[in-house]
Amino acid sequence: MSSTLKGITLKGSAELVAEFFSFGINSILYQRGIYPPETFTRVTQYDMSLYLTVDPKLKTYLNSVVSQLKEWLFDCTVQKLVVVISCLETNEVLERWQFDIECDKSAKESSAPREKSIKSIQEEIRSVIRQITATVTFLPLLETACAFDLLVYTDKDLVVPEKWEESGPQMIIDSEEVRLRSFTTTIHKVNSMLSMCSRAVYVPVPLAPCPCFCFPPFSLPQSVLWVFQHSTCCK
Amino acid sequence: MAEGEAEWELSKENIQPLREGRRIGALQQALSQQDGSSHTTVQQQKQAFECELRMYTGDDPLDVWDRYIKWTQQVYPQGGKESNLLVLLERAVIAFANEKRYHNDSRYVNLWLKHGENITEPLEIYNYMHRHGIGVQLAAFYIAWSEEFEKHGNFKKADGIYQQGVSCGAEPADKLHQYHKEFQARVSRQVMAGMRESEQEEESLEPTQPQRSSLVDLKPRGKKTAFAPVVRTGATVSYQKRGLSFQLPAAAHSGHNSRVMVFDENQGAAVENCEPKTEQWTAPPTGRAKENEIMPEKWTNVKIPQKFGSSVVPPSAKPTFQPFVEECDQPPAVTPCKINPAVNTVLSARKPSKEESALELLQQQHAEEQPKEQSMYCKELLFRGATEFCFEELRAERYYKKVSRELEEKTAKLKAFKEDLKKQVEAKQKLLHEHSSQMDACHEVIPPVEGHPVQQVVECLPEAAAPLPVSPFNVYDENEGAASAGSNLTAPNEGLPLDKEVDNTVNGPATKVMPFTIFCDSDTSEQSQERVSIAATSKPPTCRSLNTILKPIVESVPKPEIDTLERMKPISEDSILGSYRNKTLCPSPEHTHDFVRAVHLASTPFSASQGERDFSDSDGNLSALPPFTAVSVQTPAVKQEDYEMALHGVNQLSPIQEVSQENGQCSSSSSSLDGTSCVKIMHLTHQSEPDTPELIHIAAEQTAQAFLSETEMENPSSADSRRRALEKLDLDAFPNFFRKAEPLPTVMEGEVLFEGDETIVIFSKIASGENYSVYLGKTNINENVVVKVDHESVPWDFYIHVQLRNRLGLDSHKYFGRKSSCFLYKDGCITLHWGHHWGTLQDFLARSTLPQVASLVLELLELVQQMHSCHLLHGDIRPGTLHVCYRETCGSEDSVLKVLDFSHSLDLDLQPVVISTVSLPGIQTLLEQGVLLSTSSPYQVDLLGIAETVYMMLKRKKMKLVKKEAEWRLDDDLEISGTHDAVWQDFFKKILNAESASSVLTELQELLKNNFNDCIDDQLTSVIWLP
Repeated sequence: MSSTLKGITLKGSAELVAEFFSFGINSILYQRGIYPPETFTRVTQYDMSLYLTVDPKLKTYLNSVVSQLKEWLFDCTVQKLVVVISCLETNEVLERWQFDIECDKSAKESSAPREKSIKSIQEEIRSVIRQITATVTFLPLLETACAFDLLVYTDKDLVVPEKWEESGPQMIIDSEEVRLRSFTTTIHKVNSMLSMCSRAVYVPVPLAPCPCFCFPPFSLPQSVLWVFQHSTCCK
Repeated sequence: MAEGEAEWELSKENIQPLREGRRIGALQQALSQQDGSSHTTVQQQKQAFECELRMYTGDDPLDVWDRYIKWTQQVYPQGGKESNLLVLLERAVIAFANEKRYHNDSRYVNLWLKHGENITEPLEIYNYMHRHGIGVQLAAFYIAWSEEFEKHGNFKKADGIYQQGVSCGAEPADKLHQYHKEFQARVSRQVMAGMRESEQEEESLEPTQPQRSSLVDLKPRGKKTAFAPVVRTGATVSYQKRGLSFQLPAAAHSGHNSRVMVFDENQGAAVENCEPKTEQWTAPPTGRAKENEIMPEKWTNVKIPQKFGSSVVPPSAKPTFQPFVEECDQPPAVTPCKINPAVNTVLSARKPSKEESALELLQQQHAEEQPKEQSMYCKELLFRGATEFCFEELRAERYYKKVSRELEEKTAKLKAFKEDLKKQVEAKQKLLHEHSSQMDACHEVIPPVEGHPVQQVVECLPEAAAPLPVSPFNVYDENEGAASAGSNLTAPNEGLPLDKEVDNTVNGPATKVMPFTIFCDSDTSEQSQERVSIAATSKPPTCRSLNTILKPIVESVPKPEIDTLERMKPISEDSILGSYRNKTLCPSPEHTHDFVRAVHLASTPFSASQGERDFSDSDGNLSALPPFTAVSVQTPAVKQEDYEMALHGVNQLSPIQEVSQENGQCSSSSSSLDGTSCVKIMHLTHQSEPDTPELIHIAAEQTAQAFLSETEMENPSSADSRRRALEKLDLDAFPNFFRKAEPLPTVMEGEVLFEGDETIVIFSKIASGENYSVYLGKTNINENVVVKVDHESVPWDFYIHVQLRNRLGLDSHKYFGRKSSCFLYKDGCITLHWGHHWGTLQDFLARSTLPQVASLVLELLELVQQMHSCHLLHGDIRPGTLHVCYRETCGSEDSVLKVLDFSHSLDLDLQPVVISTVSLPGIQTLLEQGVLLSTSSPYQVDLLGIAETVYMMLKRKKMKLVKKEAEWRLDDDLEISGTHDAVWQDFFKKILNAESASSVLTELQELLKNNFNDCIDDQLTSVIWLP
């Protein structure tokens, strides 16, 4: 890492965050099975094993996005990065991994490094990526062939660079959201959130309230038993 | 969020991934409840599902199972035994195995596939499904099946399955094709990779170092000291090298295995041979292949007989044979697992009965199908879900369902009733309009509410006077007359219409109870004297009830036949009164009469009750036997204390006994306990009254005609006419109506009566009539019940009660009881009314001091109004037919008064009658007196009944009426409640001279409410007046 251990500058922060995105996106693609697992290779980063794609086309695509992102991060003009996973055939959005980026624009003026060790930042990043991995536990199996899209939200006055085009937000209707961990470099703060299509997920029926009844004073012995049973079942 | 967020991440290893994913909310909840002690919501939901499984009545029972299982998966993220998922799946799958309609239902097939995922040998499941045609139309089935083969490395078969699916036309075809393609891509990729690797392998075959193969047996070499082998083979090395990236299924390895492969020529054919075989599968394969489980055993000194290399071989390609299940031969319930007892020396074998495999379950089902074994309880309900229910739970569930349904029904009914009422109000307003216009036209007073019956009355007017049913003509008995000390002098009454006299006097117990007498008083004493002289010299006792009259008669008329006691009667009333007040038996010894009377009192056991009886016969019908005459004479003057004192003696006797005793004693009189009128007075009054001769005339005429017309125009309250009226209706359609072919059981006090599924203990007789008796009882479940035993097989009471309920809706509960049922026998019927009844109002009046009457009267008025509003006539309102309920148990919306005895009721809708045809008790008397005109509305009978009852409550004696200035009024001025005397007088004035029954009832209610406003509310809510 180019940053010093003592503090972190804007440039270093942008690099760190861009690097996180590179690994994060790769992780998502691997974990969600968008590309066959054979096309990934294992590397060690942030003290853990991560998978990076070996597919040359995907590699170049991701590299170009990340390098562009790095510039924007350095300019503090980026607001969000979204990984959209959609069904290849129907184009229906199934998952939406959203990373909100809060930039501290004051860092552009003062170039003084912020007090945060890279170790602690990497610690935070690691926990985010771990969580991304852990989401497989509850995410539905993507049974159809899927494609992914990268959306970047930037400040309004930005010139759209080459190969980029403007896009809609591609939100999921009827979605369920899970907030993931966040990390901060003190200059850039990344909040992650996952929303997924909740169609297929079973929603438990709310329990009908147990009706409570009292009995007339001259009641049968059985009904006393009922009351007792009822109270036990109500409890 | 941050904390909850950590939750799922912390236990991510414990979350079983689901194909359809998990709801994060449910996941968080489930995980947070893991450590928390409360599983309550989960348990409740589970219970609800279990209940639903058993109680489901719709046509899609699979739906409940489907939801339940999905819910279970969501709520138990880590699976496990607690979730019961395996059991649930197995049960669900078996439950619908024979339901053809579900066989290609994707939900059902998914359950099967889930079941397959959870067991060790899913291929058997798929085979079974295929044989039974479960899911053969669905792509998902073929995909799952094929994937299973793929897992085992049998690519040929996996491909064959896909092809089979396509040829079967499984839906959706696209999906199947897509999976097929993907599968083929995978296979080709793996084959390619395999080829590449094997090339590499050959290059690097030479191991640099000797390596030990993992997971192979360590066969010791050497005889004395054992060494682990150091010899490695290429195959094991290459296998190990693949390590984690192991993608090739085992099939590829078999080639590398050192063992010699024997070519099986059948094998090639078998690949295609996955067509269904003729053999029938009777049972689905069990989830846990128990036969193959390794039993726990001692580990030391045990060698697992393993051949070299065999342990590394993953499950080989599935065999082409399938387990054979015998059709006819029923295997024993325990799976044919041979446990070698020699091995199981340390740990005992698991009891096979505890776990029921699918196979066993199905076998049980088969066994159940056979008629020889039939469980006598709802076994399938108890064991349906994952947990076992007990009967009580099922019953509770049904009960709660019923209750909630009843509640819904009630609200619906209420709504309907409200609308009905609105409609009625509108209709009545219309009627009112019409009537008012009519009234203007013809000056007839027609109460708008009762338009229908009144019109009938009007229509019947011409012949109204003609049909007058008469009570049976009794022959005068000389002996009786003599015995009754001359009170019963029908014969000497020459000049009087004989039939009438007899009618009113000598009927004994057969005579119906007269509501009251009307004392058409002539104010002057000379008139009374005149009357006496006209009637007979022996008449005096008849007038003794009223002190004012008593005196002159006693003093002025010489009585030759009277006994000695009577004759030496110099004492004044006051002295007697005084003596009784002091409660000394012989207060004034100087009075011989008093002394003698005291002797009687002391020596005659029945003297007290006699006094009481006579007092209740407040009309002064002193027809008792001579020895008692003296006592009788004085008792009317006796005040409350003595009355009560006398009653104490009576209390030990049941009211019924009193009645019978009395009837036996006073054979000559028509009196009964509940107040009888002595018509002799009436008779005399008529005679002396100058302005009523034509009345007598009419009466005579009526009776004469009645003889003629009795056969033509029948009494609507007779059993026959009622039976005929009820024949038009379908009685069996009424709820709680039961017809029985047997004769009426005998009902006695203290006995137990079995009615249908009710067991009733009869406590006491509270009332009786000529053809019926009423008892208090309790059912086996401790509910109070009033039992009315009718000796006519006409369920009239029940009919009226049902009509009340139908016509009044929920309002009927207030006064007429909530529940009744009827058992019709060959020669009688028994009607049961549920409720907390104490007894009749009459008993009540006799036993306790009365609180302010106003609240009771209000209830009475409203009660009668309700009956009238639905065209029902009670016909016999008197304290003996009104029932009193326990106030504290009947709730604020219930009344204290209830009517359960409808023996004399008339349904004016069913039997259009006019008053003159009605042979209600006492109505003839009323007609004769002119209180009721033959033109008046039948409802007025009830009004007079109310008046009588109220009078009884206030004064505890019979009401007597006089006609003054064309108005009927009481012949005494009420002096009871002090401040409210005027109100009561007003009350009686109104009710006696009513023109329209309904308007008077409302008027009277208002009158009472206005005047007793301050105390009524209190009384209605707080009065607990139990004796």
